[in-house]
Amino acid sequence: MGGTLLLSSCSKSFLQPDPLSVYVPNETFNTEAGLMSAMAICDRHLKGYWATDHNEMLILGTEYTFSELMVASATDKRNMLADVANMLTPTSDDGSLINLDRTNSMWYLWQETYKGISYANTIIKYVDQVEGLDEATKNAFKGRAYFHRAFRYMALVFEYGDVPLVTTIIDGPKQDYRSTKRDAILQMITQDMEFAVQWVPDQSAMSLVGLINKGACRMLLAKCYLAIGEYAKAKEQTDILIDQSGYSLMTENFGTFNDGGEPQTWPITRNVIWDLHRPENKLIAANHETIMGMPNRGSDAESFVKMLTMRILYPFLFDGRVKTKDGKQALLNIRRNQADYNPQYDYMRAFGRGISTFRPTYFQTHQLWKVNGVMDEGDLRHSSAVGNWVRMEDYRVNNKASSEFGKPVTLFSDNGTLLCSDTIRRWYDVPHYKFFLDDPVNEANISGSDGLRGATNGGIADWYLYRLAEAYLLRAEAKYYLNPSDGTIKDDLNIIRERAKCSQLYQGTVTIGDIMNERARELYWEEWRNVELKRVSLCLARSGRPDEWGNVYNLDNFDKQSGTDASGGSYWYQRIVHYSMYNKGPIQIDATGNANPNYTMDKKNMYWPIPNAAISANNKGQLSQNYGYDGYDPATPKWDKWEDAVADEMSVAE
Amino acid sequence: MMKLAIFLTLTFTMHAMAKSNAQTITLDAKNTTMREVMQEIQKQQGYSFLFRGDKIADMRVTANLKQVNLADALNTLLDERGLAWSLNEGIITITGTPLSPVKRISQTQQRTVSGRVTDENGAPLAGVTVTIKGASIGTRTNEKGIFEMQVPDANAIFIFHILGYEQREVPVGSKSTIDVSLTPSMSDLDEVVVVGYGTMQKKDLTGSVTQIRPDKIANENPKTVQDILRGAPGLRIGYEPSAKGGGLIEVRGKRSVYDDDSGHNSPLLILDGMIFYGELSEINPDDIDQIDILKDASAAAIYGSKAASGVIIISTKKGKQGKPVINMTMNVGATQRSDYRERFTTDAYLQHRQDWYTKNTYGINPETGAYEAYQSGVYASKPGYFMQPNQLPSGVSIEDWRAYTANDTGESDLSIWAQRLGFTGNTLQNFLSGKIVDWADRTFRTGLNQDYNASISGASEKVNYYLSMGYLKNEGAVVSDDYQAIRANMKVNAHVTDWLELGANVNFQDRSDGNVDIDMDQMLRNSPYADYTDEFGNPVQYPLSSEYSQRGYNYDFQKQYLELDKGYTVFNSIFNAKVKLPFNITYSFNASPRYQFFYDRYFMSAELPGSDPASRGANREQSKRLDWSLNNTLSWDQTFADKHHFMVTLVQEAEERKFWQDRIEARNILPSDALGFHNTKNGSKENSTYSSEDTHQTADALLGRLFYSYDNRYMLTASIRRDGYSAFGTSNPYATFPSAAAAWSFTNEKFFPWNDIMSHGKLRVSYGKNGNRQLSSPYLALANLYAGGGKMHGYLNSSGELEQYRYLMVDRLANPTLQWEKTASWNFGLDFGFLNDRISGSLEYYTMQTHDMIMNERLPGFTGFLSITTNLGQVNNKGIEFSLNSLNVSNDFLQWSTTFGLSYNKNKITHLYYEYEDVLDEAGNVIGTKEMDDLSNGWFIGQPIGAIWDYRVTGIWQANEVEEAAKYGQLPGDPKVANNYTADDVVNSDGSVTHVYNDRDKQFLGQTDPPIRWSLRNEFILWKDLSVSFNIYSYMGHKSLSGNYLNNDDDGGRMAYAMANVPAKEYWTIDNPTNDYGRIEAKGPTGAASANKLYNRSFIRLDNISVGYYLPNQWTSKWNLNRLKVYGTVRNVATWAKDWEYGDPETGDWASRVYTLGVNLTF
Repeated sequence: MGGTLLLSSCSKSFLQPDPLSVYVPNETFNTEAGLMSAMAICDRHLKGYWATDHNEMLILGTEYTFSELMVASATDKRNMLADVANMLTPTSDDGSLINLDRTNSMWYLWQETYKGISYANTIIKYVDQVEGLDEATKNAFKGRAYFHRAFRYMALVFEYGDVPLVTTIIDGPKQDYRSTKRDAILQMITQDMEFAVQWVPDQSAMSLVGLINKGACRMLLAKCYLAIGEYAKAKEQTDILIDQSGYSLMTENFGTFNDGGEPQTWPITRNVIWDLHRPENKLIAANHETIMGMPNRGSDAESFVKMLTMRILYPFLFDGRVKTKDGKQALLNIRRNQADYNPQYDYMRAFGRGISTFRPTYFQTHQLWKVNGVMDEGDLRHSSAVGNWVRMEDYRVNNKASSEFGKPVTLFSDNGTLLCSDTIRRWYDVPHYKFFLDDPVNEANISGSDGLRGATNGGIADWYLYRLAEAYLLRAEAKYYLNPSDGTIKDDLNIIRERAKCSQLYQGTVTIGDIMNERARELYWEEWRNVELKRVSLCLARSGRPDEWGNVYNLDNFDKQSGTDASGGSYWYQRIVHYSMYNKGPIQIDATGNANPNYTMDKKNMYWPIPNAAISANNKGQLSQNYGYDGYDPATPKWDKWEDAVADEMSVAE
Repeated sequence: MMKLAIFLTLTFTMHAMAKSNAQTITLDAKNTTMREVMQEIQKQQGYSFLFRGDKIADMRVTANLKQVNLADALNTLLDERGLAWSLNEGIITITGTPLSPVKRISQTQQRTVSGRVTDENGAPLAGVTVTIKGASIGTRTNEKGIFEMQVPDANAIFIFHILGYEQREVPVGSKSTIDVSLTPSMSDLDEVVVVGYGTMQKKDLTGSVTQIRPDKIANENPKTVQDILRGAPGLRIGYEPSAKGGGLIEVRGKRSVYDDDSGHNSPLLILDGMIFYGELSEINPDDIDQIDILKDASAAAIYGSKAASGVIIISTKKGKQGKPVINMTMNVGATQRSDYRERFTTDAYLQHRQDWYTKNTYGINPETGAYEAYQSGVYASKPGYFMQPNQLPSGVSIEDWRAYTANDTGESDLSIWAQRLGFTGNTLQNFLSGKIVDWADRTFRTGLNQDYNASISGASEKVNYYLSMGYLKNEGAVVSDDYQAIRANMKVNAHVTDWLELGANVNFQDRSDGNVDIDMDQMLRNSPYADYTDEFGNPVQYPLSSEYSQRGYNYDFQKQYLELDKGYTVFNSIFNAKVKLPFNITYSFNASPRYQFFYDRYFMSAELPGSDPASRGANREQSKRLDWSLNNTLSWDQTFADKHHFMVTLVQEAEERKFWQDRIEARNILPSDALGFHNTKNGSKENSTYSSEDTHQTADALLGRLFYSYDNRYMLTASIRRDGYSAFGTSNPYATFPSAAAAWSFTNEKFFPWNDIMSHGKLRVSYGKNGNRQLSSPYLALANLYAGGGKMHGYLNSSGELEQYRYLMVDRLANPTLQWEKTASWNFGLDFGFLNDRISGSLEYYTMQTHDMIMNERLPGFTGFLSITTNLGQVNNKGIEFSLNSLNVSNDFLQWSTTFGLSYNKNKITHLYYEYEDVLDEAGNVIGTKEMDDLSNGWFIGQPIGAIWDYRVTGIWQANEVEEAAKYGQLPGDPKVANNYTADDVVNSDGSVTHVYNDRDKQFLGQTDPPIRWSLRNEFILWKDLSVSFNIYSYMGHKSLSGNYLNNDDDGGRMAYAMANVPAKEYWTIDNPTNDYGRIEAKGPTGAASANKLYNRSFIRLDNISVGYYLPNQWTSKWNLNRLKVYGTVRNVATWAKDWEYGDPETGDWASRVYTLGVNLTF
């Protein structure tokens, strides 16, 4: 026996590696099904940006706190990212991803975005080795991968400025990256999107909804053209989307009516805006406005990614810090199995059990909705009357121990005492039509559930990536850069306003501010607000067009300024100092973590710091740090042309 | 004279091959040396010979024997030369001095003397040679230790001798019975040391080998093999307070930065000569005969795998000749917590809540300028708001205080206060009625430990057997922690013919693995005013009522809905065959298949109120491992001209390891989950998952080793080994590891003059290269695709239905050049023995250079890969080990012995990636280059692997330093952090300075691995039957960082929403201006917000105190017992920490103390 084994073990093949449960890339990505597995993760990853980060976070929240529309509001966290000007450093967010103390997703937006790029690069690297794939199919795969890569680079260059350009799956270690300039990356993704628009089929020619389609590619291409200053080309793409692609705005009720969970507490008057934003209607054939959506349904164990909009974005009300005039807790979370239950006051079922990790600014909830100096009462997107919008005054005291039972909650008592001791986290309005999601799992399990948190373990939470409404807004922008006095710009805004049943329409010429306001009203929690504002900042600097206050920006320095004073900075910074809570001084509240948050934002925060971990891991090269942050050195060499960066990357030794 | 005899002893360590009385001896010798005659007998009969005495081997013999049996043959050959012989364990020992005719004594004067020989505990010693000094006669004791001998005259002196015991001389006098007891030999030079693919006597060793015999510490009732090893010089044994026990093992420091729980830095285990793939719990400490730890390269180089990290060879017991011996031990014990992070008492809890709320009101009093409470925020106008009503400051009336809140009419002040501290619902009721739960009582317990072992062993002339069975059932100090194991060992060895020997050793274990664990921290964190049971005495689901959003955790409720059945069943077997070939060559074949079966059956009932059935259900996992290794070994052992001793060993070896795993996670089991984990079939498909994971790896090797010794003075060992491993199979499967060692027993030199003081001395030097192949997976060199959580992505098809696709992500970069990690090391050793070896020990110095180190090289994450497993860098270890054994007192009343061990290890990274950066002077000129550190992994050239490089916390900002603290964005009570590099601080337009904290402010603060370890064991044997011993060990010179002093108490809303009771501790307040602890929820300056504080982790532990007592023989013999011992031991008796105050200094958390009482019976 020993002898036999002796012989067999001495043969060379005895030590051959024998991977049994391992998918090796070359043997997996050689079929269309294999490639499709890479595409599936690209698409799932894209959806992730709108879905949860950790249980008290949503990734998109960071995009909104770095805009005029929201601030961080988890006031029980001592390290809440409020004092951004001082707290944000290259090392401030190196920690673990599942860190409940974190109130921003910056590290996620860096790391996960590059993961998304690697998923797309996987398709690009391996697609040519799949045998038996016809040219059109191959190019459609490539085009979709380009879309995923371009979408992420578009976010990176406006969040982080000049970043390392990675366009392939490396074959061996590479640690000598240089940063590539923002505009060079924009040039590359524009070229890629031109290819994608050519090869990716229209949705009508596709069998699956949720796979990247030509319309989505065109939308992204239009944004690329705007970003590189090709405004006419951008307008041309939006013209095609609006006029030649079969899309149209939804103007009447359609699809399935969702009554909003608990109509006795919060009745919904059916309207087009409500129907348009119900997840069950977003991706149906009857919806002609959808250019591209992201299906998010099924079970948590399979394809569903939980959407905690009701948990993260509604005010934190079931708490003693919202009081009645007679000193009682105003709002209780009374479940259906409890004796005191009254379906007229079941706020948990109607609005969820918010913890308010982020809150809107006063601008977002109030000033924004004034058009022509008039608060537009008809605007369905801001209408409490139909149930689309929930104001604090719409809540009624549901604590039977209070003499105020059944009366609306109030911010002040009769003698003017403040009744809510933490107004940051517990007192603001909510665009209910956007954030309300069925939560079938908790709904079925109300006895044990301590609250509906939006869709958690299953349900339907499909989300929009692009709607035709945004194409109008992009066209308005393109027209503005081409000719600000173009009288048709207002039409692109008004068509959206008319659909929302607004009473106020724009007249004459409009400003970039009007366009950005309309974006804020129409695309709340759909667009990446911070990225869009910074893209527009670049467009204004490049085109030399003025903002709504008459400021003109210089391409050389609009993104290289620091300070927290009211003047200067980029258009992004100007929007923030004009409209948000930043740089207005500390606020005193009753909170256990941060009792006097001082919201600040610096002009230098135009770009986020490149994470120190990325710089130090790239130890053979030098990435450039952004202006204003520790480690900034203008002399750091960068790639001016994306072709050079790609050539450098391809030269990596095996 | 006798001393000399020991040194001149020659041995043939070749194992007994066959023994048969039916076999006879035929021999024709003419003036042949005794050695050659005995070699001939050895060939014919298979016995090994051991000559004990000067020149016996060279005596000339002339004899002609035909078909004579062994005893007659030996008597014929030896008697007339005044030599005696004895047979013990297959070895024939020939002793005696050539008889001088003058001393011939007439038989008429002889009388008979008998007696009994026992060991130090009174147990009979069989096989003791009894001779008369200066005479040729001798005999041996029988199984009961009894001997009988003819004595020539009253002046005769008996000499009692047996291996492993001090030789004793007793004058006969006129006595007719002489009972003696022998004490174990302090000198273990004769002991057989297992060196891998063979054995050696300790005196022949050239390498650094530490030997441990568990029987010597049997009183301590070691629970695990780790308990046996703990304290040995050069070994680091982790401490594990659980019911199972155990702990990680490290020999002589970390060789490599590669550290991923794969055991890369822990030693290779060898069980009875074969690679042992299991874990140490599978070996019953009671079954272990000896443990040999190969520490230097030369000793370890004959092994592959991960021998570079040291080799631990465990040899199990075997039967001894004589009647069957039955041995039984019974241990009963108790386990209690010895240390943990205790929670606040109720008073301190209330104070802490008050302080926690009050901290947000701190501010500068505009009138006095002092930093005080109730000066900022919404409570600035409400002084004393959170204070107890009976402790209000002057100036605040109770009426004012009450009026801060709108209270119910008639509400008590206590209730008002409690509500301000967050009490409501049930906690308010319990607080007002004084109802308290001690959650520590619900978390910890006094656990009962039971350990029963029985063995039967024995040997006949042809068959040797050892059978044992043990049952262990331990309850840990934590309520959920149970462990049980059944272990059996069956070992048989048979001489089939005189040239063939077959053996088998089957080791069986069935053990539990894990429990439905309590979440200790959550359980302890519950408020003392929360509820544990409802009014009926049943545990409640939520300790806090529904007013709270985080309602606490009650293990005793949760566990009712959970069930776990998890464990391993292991068969480890070793089979060997040994064939005796001509020319003293032996061929042996060894194979050791090992089967391991793992099962994990877990059930989470959906009946748990409020649970989501989609996330509840049954897990079932089964896995099987088949690991085998085999070797073909040829060995040749020959001595020429009496002085040249050669041993040659040639080995061919192969290994294969296969693993198969299946796992099902059934969820949402319908219509009912009443079948528990016995039903997975009815799980709903969309919520359930199944998976499998199979691996396969192979290895082979060739080895050659030569041992040569000259005249017991000079010894040389050389070996070379070539190893291959499939994980490196893409391009570099093989590596070659040579070694050489030499030793000089200088006390054996004729010119050595001080033999009477220094009884034994040996210098050793060795050099060798070892390998390490241990990886967290055998496929790390290959690229792979990752399925993430195994979820899917859904698209909608044309009919609007969900269509789901599996996804795969590129996950790992291939590294086709991955290869063996290599360690080259030198070892210099001195073994010494003084005063007839009453003081003995060794001193070792070693240096080790590990290169081609397996490491996870950090990659920029934006490439899609966070790291690659590769070979780079170099780590050096050097150190000193000192061990000392002494017999301080030895008389009939007391025997006191001491064992002391000290080791020092210095660990240093000398290379990482061989990438250099310029060194600049202050002006920015290049003044040199240096190799780059790896900051992200915390690896620094010139520093130990466990280097601590971080900010230094220097103190705490005090109340009078408000303004200074504000410059760092901090408040009083926050830590002061050294801002070592100030050139990068930013001067703002208003002239103020923003202090920047970054890597340049970090400094080296120490290391996490203890460089110094020492241990001390003292044993006192009183009246020969009562032994008392204690053990101390200590780790010194290591440090750690901790953020505990920052008092991050809320941590996700625990204080605010869950009334948490955090660990009792000191913290900074205005009234307690300490410089050691931060305020509640303190934070460092921007950029160093969570700056940790440095603590010295040095400690000394009184590891155990043991007492053992042998019942007097006259009692035990009545019960037909050979001996009976009772003993008791306390483990982890006390611990002294230098600096650490957050739990046990070794675990950094809780620890346990074990009390054991045991009885050992030998029949």
